[in-house]
Amino acid sequence: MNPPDEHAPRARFGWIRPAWFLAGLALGLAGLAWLGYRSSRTDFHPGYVRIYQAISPETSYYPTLGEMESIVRAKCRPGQVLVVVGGNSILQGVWQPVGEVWSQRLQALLGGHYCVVNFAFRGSSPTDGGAVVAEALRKEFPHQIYIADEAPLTGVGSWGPESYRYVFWDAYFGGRLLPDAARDARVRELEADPAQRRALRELRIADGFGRIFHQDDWWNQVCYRWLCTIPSDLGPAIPELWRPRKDFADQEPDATDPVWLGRRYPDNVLATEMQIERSAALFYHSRGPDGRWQLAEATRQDLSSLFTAAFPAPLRARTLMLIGYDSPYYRSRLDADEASRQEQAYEDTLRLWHEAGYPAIAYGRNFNENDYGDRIHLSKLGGAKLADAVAPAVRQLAQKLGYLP
Amino acid sequence: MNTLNRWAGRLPAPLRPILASALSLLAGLAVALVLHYVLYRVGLPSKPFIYVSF
Repeated sequence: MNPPDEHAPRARFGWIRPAWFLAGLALGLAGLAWLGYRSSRTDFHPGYVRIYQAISPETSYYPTLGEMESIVRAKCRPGQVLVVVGGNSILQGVWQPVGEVWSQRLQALLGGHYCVVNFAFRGSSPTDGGAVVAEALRKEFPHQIYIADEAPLTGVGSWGPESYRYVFWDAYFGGRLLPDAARDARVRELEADPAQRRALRELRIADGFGRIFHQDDWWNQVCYRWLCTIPSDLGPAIPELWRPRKDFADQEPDATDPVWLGRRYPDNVLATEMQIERSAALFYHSRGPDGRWQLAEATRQDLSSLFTAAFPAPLRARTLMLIGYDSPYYRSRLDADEASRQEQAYEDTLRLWHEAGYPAIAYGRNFNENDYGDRIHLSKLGGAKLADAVAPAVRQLAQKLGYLP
Repeated sequence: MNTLNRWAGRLPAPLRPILASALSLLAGLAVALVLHYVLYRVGLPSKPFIYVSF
């Protein structure tokens, strides 16, 4: 062995002491992971009402599963019946200002035995957001009812649009969801597709890091409370970009405000909206011997299998599906044939959801034009009527499931 | 860097390793912070949210 060379450089890293540097790195990552874990167990949305623009993927803010679970834990007691509202912008309460959101009225109508939390996202499907949160909390809140909405004759997958899938993957890869063969089969389908396989692998790795370091939980809290570094329409450049999201209020407009009243049904979208309104014609081509429009058998089977596979079997009986009628401003323009097709579509949709094991109700058939802010979204007036229609259904379901006497 | 080296050279000899260790620890903490933040940012979808009108 050669003797140590006294003239050799003492350190390869200058003044950096590698052992101390690595200790700092490990300590820092461990500390941030702990802070992230704490964030995932902390409700930092005091007075939470719903997901709104500043805390939604629309502005690159992705509420995490832990963040939403913490909101539930802060608002609700395990002894209450947890009522999670999922679905899309209709149930989120677009056109309903804070204080007059339909889910707030639902809470008031149901009273203290129930706890209503709204996790509906714009453009979301019934199996996203709130659905995942409710399923992940099924052991902590075994008495739960999940409410979602969907248009008539519309299929529902095990997970919805890409923008909101991150919550599902977080729960799925984290083992937070019930075992479900249909869901697993869809994941296997993705894995079999070379183009999807890579994306899925990246997601799996990212979620693995997330479970260790809780980076999304921590930086979401930083963004919400103190300093946000995510560009969005709210603040595309510094210094607005850095403003914490808590400084941006939920400013959902009121559809009954005279400013908006005249803009609810613009003439330039009438043709497009009527095309959608007549879409039942795509499904009904002939009448049966009883004179009723008949749904094609292939469509019926397709929808039936999609509805059955949308939620795991144990969750179907507690999932209340709402099928909403559009504004009479458009419905009244349908001719007799088109209107009867549409009525048949609602009837068939409800029957298919029931056959698949879900409670389901339609709403809006007798609402008036002022109950809507546009073709599908409800004004605060319509929202109140929706809550009036849903509250008895929720109570009935809670009794049927044995949650309450 | 030279200024820093000169300043460090004027420190009493026993303090120098302590300072180097403290600075190394701080550098490790700073890199941890950056890594953690990068993990968060790379996890955000690269495609902007598109509002689905229906």
